[in-house]
Amino acid sequence: MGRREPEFPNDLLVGLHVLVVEDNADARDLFRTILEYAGGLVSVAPDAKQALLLCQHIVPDVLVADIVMPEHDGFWLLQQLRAAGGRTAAIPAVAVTGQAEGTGRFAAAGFATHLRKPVDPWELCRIVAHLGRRR
Amino acid sequence: MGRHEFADSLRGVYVLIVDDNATRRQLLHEVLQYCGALVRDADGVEVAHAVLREVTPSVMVLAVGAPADEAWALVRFVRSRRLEHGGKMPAVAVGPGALADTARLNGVDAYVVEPVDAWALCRLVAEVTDC
Repeated sequence: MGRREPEFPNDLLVGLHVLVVEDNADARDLFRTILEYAGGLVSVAPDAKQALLLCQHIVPDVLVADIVMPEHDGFWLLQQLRAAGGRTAAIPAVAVTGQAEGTGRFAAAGFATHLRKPVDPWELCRIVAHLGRRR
Repeated sequence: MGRHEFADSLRGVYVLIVDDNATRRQLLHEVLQYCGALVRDADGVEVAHAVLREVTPSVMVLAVGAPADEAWALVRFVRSRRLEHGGKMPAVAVGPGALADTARLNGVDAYVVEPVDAWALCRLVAEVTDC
């Protein structure tokens, strides 16, 4: 039986800007739908380079990044953002990955936390809310 | 302004975005629409002029880069219009910090330095439109 979240607040992410970086179009759309359901302002990028470009124009409150992407992975993306300096370097980030990785690598790269796919949508929203409000 | 207030802070505001950079234009659109504004995009000054011939937006948000002459000319054009045709329409510019002073000298009411904070932009647009 699936888990239901009857108490889930649909305004949990209101006033938070989330950037989702995910190369798989279906997954990108899924994450956007979940985060918008919780009231977030959501922007999306299909790869790490596009995400970097977006961050030159705007600083999201929270980054949700896939790890395995063609050309440049999520670790590379976070390394670039951290090196950018200013507010961009301080964007809190959540990694999502379908592959088993040691927790230490995410922390060393600067991710606040990571989620294994398939992701629990409510957990994703709660983590994003927590990181966004902490800024 | 609390975070919850942003979601509807620009209700009833018609924003004209003028930006030839598609990525940034989309971002600005998402932010302002999220805050409740009715948003129209123009991918350049010519399209902006075409829009201004048809409607009078509440505020213009224009992205500037180098050269920025076209952007300043657009602001001066708006300022030259009669009051009932939007002559006092506020203009908010988005761009590099180095152009902030020039923007104000050319009639821009508020300037947001890139990279933009979405909520700072919404707050400024609300302020210049007296929301």
